[in-house]
Amino acid sequence: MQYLMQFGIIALFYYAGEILNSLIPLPVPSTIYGLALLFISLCTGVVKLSQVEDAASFLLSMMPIMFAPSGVGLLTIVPILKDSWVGIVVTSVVTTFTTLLITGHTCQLLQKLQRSKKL
Amino acid sequence: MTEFFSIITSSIFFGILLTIGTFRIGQWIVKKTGIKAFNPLLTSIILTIAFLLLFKVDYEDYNKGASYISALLGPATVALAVPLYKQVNLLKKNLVLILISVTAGAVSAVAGVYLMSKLFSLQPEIFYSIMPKSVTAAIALGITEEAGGIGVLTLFAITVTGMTGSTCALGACKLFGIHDRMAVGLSMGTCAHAIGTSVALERGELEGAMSSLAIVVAGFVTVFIAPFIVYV
Repeated sequence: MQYLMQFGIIALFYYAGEILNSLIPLPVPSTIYGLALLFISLCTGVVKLSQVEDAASFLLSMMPIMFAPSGVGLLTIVPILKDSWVGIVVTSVVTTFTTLLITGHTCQLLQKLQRSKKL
Repeated sequence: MTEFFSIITSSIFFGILLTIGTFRIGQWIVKKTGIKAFNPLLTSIILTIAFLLLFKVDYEDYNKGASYISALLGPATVALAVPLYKQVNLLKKNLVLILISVTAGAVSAVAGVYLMSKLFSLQPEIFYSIMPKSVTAAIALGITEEAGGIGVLTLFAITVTGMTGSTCALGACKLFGIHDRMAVGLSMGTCAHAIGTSVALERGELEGAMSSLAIVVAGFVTVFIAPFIVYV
């Protein structure tokens, strides 16, 4: 029961996010509104960590499986992909690595700079 | 036989159980072989597609149940606020560093897609569709729509990116010399959105929090730079 109430609170924030998404004409998805609202509520103490923690970690632990149905959905767009799929796949794979490389090293470089300034 | 089969597939629990079952097999393979690259998600997708094709089950029949699993993705994304909140002090202390790193990554993602599209001489329409592929699906689809791309191609590129991220990103971090926990988390979220974040969470709460923050920042940065790229 406790789990269900916690899930209810999280779902409520998601629902609020969906409403904001339809009211505000910005390309911001409902999940981001919901995430921001829950984060602010936790910071201000409106929602206590213990009120959502268990359900949140349960949801987060099963997050990978939630992507499976949309992956299977690729089956339905095979005709659209025709001859462009090779380019799309190679582009997606290569840029995943370049993005990883640049983000990670920018972060580590900045940390190094910060440290050397402090010394 | 076909009548019997249609009874099986018409239940919403068919899609739900097929998804959970194939995912379980994926986890079992990782455990047996000890090879992390056999991603349970990828195994689940491949086995499910094989099953549907082999037994000639309509995607709609499968998705009747499976859509309940994908529906949880909304609340799960909102739940990312929890690890983010737990790391709030670290977040405040490193805010500038986080913003700069993720912005650099997000800009490089769009620039990389641009260069590669030129290399493969992809149509502008296809470029617009795959430009936001490192961003979380909900934001990416909004960008594609604004730019005049094709939504399903965006989803395809996002899924390929996510698969690459979840199977290879942790190994790639090691290979590229990205060791710092914060750097790993930020990279995972910036390069492979929520799928990368789910892997980052498995590595640790700090990585997960950084990764979820990176999703948000990368999303906003990409929303902001996309119109400029389109009009150039």
